[in-house]
Amino acid sequence: MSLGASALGGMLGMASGIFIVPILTVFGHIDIHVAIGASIVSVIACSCGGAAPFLRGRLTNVRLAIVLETATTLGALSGVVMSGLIPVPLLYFIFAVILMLSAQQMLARRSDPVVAVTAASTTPWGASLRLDSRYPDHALGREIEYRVHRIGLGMVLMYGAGLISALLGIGSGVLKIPAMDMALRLPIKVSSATSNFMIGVTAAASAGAYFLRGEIVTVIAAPVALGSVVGAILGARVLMRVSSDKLRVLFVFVLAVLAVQMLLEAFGIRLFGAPA
Amino acid sequence: MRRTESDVAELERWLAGLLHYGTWLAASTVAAGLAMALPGPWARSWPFETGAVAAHVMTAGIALFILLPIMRLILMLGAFVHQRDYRFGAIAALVLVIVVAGSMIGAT
Repeated sequence: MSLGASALGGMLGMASGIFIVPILTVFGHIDIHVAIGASIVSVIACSCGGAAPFLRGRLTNVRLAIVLETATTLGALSGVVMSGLIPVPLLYFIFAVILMLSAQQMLARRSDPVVAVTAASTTPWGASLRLDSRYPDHALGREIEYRVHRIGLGMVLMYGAGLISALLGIGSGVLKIPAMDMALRLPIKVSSATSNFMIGVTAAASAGAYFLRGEIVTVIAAPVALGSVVGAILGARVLMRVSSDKLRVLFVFVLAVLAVQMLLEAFGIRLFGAPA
Repeated sequence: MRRTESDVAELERWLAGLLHYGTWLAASTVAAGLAMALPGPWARSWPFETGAVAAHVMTAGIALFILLPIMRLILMLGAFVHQRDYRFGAIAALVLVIVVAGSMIGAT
């Protein structure tokens, strides 16, 4: 069960964690805090497992990542402190909202922000911290230069992403993507790689606390972590063969179904199995 | 500028290596623990304590996964200090402090 849930999650790449908690709680009837603990470990596994190819392809902006991680880890810390205080039905409700936001985001196509690199577009933070960089685009066969914009707004959104990540046990790409696209205005390939790289450290901040608290139950977390690593490897191969439009429709459908399930759980209605 | 680019490229290679081999080590440890825990025809000949050992092996694998991003931060801190990029060294140290302190505060 755990292996299957996480393999499905892992196959979906960026959105891995978001499927694990709903499947474990709704179908596996596992306590939501245990599901979150298991999910956060698999989020680390997916982030670390997927990081190497992006780093070798020079797509990850490590300098920008470490700056933004100050905000995501602080957010995660706030999430850990809040997690014990938030009532379980409210957790389900927040999860449902995040699932719906993800579905909506998947429907809207992301487009590369068209940023003309001119001397005038240099930002004070981007220049003084030397965050602006370049990456090799194989499709175009040349290096693309890019500038990092609006770091302040990006940091605020990243704090929120860290908080939601710790609270729900997800990678919280749903908040990182708007931060990267709209605030920092990074090219999609750079933002995907940098976001994936940051997720590991953000999740480690909360996973460390949950681990020491004893909320990470080995019997559940171990197969979930292994399943997501296997799923991520298999998923990358499957993804290349399936048309991306079909895949998007499938993801949106699954996300919507899980959102409804989580919403029902929030109001104490359980369709699968005995009531809690 | 050239120096910075080659420094970053070297750091990226180190990070890729750490995360690649670290993930394999942690995943193999978890897999070994799971294999020991699964009941099979071979399990009958194993001593009684195998179940307890399997749980410890799995826990160690999970701890390795959680430690991996922390190791990555330590590597980045070391690299920035080595490159005399003290401002980024301080930022890496700050993130490390937040993660470690967060684990301690959150655990209580």
